[in-house]
Amino acid sequence: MKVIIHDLSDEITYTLEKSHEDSVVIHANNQYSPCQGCFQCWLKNAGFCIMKDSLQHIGALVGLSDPLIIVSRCCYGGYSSPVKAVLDRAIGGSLPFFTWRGGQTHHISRYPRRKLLRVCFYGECTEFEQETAKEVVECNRLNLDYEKADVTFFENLEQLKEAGL
Amino acid sequence: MKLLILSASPKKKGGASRFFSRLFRLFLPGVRKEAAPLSCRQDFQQILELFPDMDAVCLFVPLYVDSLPSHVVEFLIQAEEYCKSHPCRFRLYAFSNNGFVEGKQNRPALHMLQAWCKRAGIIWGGGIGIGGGTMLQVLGIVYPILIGIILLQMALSFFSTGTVSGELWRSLAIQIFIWLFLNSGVLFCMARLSSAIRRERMVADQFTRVMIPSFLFIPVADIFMILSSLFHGRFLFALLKRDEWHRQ
Repeated sequence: MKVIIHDLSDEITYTLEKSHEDSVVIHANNQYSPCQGCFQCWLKNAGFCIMKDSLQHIGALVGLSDPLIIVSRCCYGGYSSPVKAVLDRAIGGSLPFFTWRGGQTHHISRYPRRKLLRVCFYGECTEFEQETAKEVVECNRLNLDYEKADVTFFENLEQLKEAGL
Repeated sequence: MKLLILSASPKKKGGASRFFSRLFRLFLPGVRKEAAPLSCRQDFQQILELFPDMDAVCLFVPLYVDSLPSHVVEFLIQAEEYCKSHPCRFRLYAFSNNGFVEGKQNRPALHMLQAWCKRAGIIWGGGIGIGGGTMLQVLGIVYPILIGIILLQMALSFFSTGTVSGELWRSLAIQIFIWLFLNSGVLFCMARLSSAIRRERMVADQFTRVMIPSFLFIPVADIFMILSSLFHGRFLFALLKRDEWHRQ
């Protein structure tokens, strides 16, 4: 299942979506409650959040998404706050238990390994921020358990529109 | 010298970031300190208004999904604008902690804060990445209780017999030594960073961890997770289930 998490306006996403395959689109519009850090999705519920909003099952959605496409403004070498709020709520996609992956400790994935994590950063981004963003995505790839991560930087939305998703 | 200590855990109570911020305050006696929570949007304005008076700001932040938590990114965007339009002259220092054992996994979060400093015109003072933050926080609860029990036994022994046995002194020394050993990396980094804050200097980013080997960390952390789930009325098998929401 293709899942797109983005912080763009709906109009732009429509033009970006060139293919007609089924996909789930999550508009990170800064209206979602951020993660409270209670870990109840790990310790009490089977991977779902205690907050009963439209992100309650985001852990399962991200856990089953292949490819997972994230479109975000680059903020200091990381995701924008609205996109990060969605990702922070998705930790239920992994188990609370630890394993070794890529020479480091990570959480065991609750769902099978997936193939592709694609991240499109847009907006002004320095070289240092680009390096940091690449490092963040590589860590995400290991943590979310994807085989491959693909990071692209776009200076502006026009470039992103031309490239499509 | 005025220091602002920000604890950026979104948790209402507890949290490793809050634990480390309290521990760090002990390293700075005599320094004028102000502490504030950075837990949610409602805290932003109050913190921003404190910025112009500060010589140093020390941010304690948890690592969420390999980088800064969403509310911290939102705060930084507002803080960047604020620092550009107000006379802020502080240095930013940071402690980032994660649940994994490797402190180096905090590097992207520290680099994001460094990138923020560059955009906001603030001096980056340096950061510490702490691995096994949750474990150190739990040890910070367990060991004072253990030490408290031994002290109680010593007091009872003193009042009943007039002496305290060598055995009790030994167990007290052992518990204090074990806690100091497990925290030695963090304590050393805190001493180094507190010295840099006092001297108004920069330090290179440093990474430390709970002082247990990684092969022990995994089973100990897993057992802790199982015990924590028991407090929530769940057992191991319930934790392993998948969310079947998409089938419904």
